[in-house]
Amino acid sequence: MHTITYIRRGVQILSLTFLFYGATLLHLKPTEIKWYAMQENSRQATELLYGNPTWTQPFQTFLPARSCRFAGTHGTFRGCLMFFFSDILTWRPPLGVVLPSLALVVVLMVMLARFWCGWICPLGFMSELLYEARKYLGLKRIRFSAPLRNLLKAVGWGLTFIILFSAWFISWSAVAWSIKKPLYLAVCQMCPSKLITPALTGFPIMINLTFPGASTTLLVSLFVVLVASTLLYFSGFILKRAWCKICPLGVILSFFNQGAFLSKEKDLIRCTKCAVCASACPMETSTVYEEKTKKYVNHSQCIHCYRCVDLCPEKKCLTVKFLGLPLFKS
Amino acid sequence: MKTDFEKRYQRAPLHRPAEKVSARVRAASEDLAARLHKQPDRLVSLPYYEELFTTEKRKKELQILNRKVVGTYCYFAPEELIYASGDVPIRLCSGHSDTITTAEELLPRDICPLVKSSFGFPILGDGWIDACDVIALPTSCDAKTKLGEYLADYLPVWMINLPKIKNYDGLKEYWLKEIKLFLHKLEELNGKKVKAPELKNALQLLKRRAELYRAMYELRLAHPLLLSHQDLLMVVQSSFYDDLPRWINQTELLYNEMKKASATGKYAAKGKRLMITGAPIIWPNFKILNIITELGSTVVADDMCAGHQRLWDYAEPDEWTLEGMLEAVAARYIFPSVCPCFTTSYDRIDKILHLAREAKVDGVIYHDLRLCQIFDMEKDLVVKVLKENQIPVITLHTDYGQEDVEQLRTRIEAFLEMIL
Amino acid sequence: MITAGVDIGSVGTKALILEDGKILSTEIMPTGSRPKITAQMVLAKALAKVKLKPDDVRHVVSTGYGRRVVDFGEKTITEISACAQGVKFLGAPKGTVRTIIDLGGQDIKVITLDDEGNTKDFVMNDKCAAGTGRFLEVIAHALEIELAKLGELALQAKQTITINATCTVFAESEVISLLAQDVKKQDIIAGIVDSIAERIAAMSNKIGMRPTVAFTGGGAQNIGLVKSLEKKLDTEMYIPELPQFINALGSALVAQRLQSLR
Repeated sequence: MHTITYIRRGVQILSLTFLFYGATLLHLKPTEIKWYAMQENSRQATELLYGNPTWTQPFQTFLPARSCRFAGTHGTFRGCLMFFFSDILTWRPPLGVVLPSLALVVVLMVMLARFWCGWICPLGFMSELLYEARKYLGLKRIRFSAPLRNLLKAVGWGLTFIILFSAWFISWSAVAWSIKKPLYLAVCQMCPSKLITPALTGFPIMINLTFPGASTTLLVSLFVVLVASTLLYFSGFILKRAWCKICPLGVILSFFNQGAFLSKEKDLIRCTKCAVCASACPMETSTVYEEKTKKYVNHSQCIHCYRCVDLCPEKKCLTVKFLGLPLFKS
Repeated sequence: MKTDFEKRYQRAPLHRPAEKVSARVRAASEDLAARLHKQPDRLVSLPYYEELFTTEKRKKELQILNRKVVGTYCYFAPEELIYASGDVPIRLCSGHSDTITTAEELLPRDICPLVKSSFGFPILGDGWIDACDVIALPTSCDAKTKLGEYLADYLPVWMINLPKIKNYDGLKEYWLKEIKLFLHKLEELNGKKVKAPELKNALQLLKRRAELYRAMYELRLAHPLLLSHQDLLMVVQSSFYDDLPRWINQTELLYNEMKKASATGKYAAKGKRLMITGAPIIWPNFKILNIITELGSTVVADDMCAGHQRLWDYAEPDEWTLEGMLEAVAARYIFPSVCPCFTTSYDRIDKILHLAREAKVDGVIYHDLRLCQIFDMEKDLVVKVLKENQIPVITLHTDYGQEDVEQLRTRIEAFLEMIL
Repeated sequence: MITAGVDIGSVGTKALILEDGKILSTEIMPTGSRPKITAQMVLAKALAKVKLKPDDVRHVVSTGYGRRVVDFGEKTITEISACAQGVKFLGAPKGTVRTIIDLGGQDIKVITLDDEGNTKDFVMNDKCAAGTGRFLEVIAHALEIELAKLGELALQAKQTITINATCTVFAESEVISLLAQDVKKQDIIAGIVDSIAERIAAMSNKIGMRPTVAFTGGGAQNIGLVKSLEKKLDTEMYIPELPQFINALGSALVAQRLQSLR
């Protein structure tokens, strides 16, 4: 029973170990990344020199999304997909240099879409552990209401836009350093992983509310967002996968959920409309239940956890297919 | 004991014990049991279920049992909660035609025979309702909605306010509240709170029943005559009355016997493979099934609330917390239901198409119970879609009486000749 | 090769003797309260008409609501199939029949046929007798008119009145109250006939009527009803020569097929 969930848990444990502790365990040396904030000696920004940018490291861009740079020297990869996109927008490398990595990323996204979220992402896995703990304690779960879900979706879009826009904005030399500094890798400044990943890997947590020459107002505002998003993350204890509902990386991947190679199909006639799928969805989408005329049931926010397929009481009603090949069946 | 009817106006409960009527009721059950008994190559595990309908054994057991008995109607009274509270649910929907005249002394003539037939029993002071402590009555159709006030003269009645529009977001919250309210009433009745482990046991018990039924259904697809449809309905409907763990044990025996017998290969369908849809066929109103058997054809599937539908679905919680289980119980009664009391017939049409496809039926019989408007109103679209799918369908408009058996026979026979 | 078809209807029992596709004789009697004996008598009479002995008949097939009580039949078929077979055999001078309306004593049937002339679908009235032959009988009795004259009188109507009640019993009361208002019998009959036609037309439209439409059964002898129904259905109907014997003919044809199978 519930085979898919068991398989998934196994994959999640493996990927967390690999992404967070892989470098230590496998004696790998992840390439150092230099970036603005680390130029503390001179207390100056080196806008021209950028050693080992992400796009020169194909190994690091092998996954559409990777572990967090705050996993420090323990992690296998440095920096997630948002890091990668932000870097490209900020440094605007020649297309020829960035194209292979970019192409690989796009191909993987087209193939797997948000599969990352449900099976690989260590943050997502840990937030699932949060609600597993609550289940164990027998505490009541709270569901997001439909308006709140829509609001969170809008917030996610907003965040994604701000992150990508600010990355592009600071690439202009006319922009003042006081703005450039805080907004550099704005994604990391707001991401709960900045606090959670170091806590797990022993990497120092870095919070600078003041920085020479940088706008304190901006730094503090970003910190407020960080606190809010971390709180949202931990509210995953009673609200399933709360952070995942606004995660900017998820927003980008979600564009590929429709029409990805990995796809979920429903036998419309066999389905008894029992809505078990809707109640099982950790992202609280109800497309699998609501869709009654088309066999493809891929919601943009689906994290491919296949909990719906796992719990569906009707044999062969839901099928997960990769390029038409069935992987899992209910 | 609490009731939903606070009695601002009183009507004296009508009592008309009539030995003649009661005897006719018993005779109807005995006749049917005897008839079923005579089926050729019948499995030996089956007479157990007959006893539940022909003897008073179980009723006496209930009366001395130190557990509260909750009489239920329809598909929607949540059995899981009743079992979790340590109480026993008994389904009061009746198929006896003999009690109808008795009930018509109070009830109007032009309402559904199921309601009239069931209401005859409290007037007679007979039947399962005698063993009940309280009645749980969902407002599934007009007749059931108004029946509560009549029943409240005899027993405390809890109405279950059933929504009519299957709209996922709005309905699940509303209906969850209603389910919790029902649980609260049960807790008050028993003087103790229901805890998560108790509810989990109840959910697993009913899931076991569903799995058992599903296994039997699958076995019957290839060998439908292992259980004639009359026998299948008898087995299904006896689970409404029997002690459930005992019923499950017994049915496991039956299933094993079915599995063994299926190897002999002599239980393939005879004649045409038919499916019955529509209003419930409840013991002992098996006249349509009997006619089909006499005409040499086999019913292989149904989608009735006193048959396939009742045992097919089960609650599947995402998490086994109290709240999670209650959510699953709530969802289980509303969303997979194909009862025509909901605003759309689409889900039901899908179900019929699926069953017809899976059971490879040659034709569908639409059982349209006279004065059940909702089944009657759904008929048009259901019939149209079935015909578009090249599935022949015939509507039988009838009630509990025996007077139209010959007309029904002509219609069914002509239908069978037609799909030759 | 002589075969016979016996149709034990609710009002009349009909017998038809067939020899290699040629109708030798027909006979009709009221069914009465002992359908079994009536069936024997009507068959004997039909045989006597053409001076045949029961032994000359190779096969007998019975149909109609009493089809199962007769003990001489080798096979029973329902009146729906029998009707379809009969109409298919007769063919139609007005085109190929795709829909049959059969108005019998206690049933109204509308049968649709596929392109091969086999039954595709059918509808029948419920157990209620509204609009059936029995209904016409009751009305004729209330008006003190012979059943057979009803049709012609309906055509003489000067004004149209509407009969609202569909129930036989209530329609009878309505007729009586119309008589009390001094409405002419012809007009009342026309109203009654129209109300039956309306009912049949609704059934035909619901099942998806296609021309050509055949009208059989005792009801087809009522010329008023035929005209009214043709107007309502907006099509000309084919009425076989012996509309009451179509079912008996159909079963005699089935009996001939028993022969060829042997």
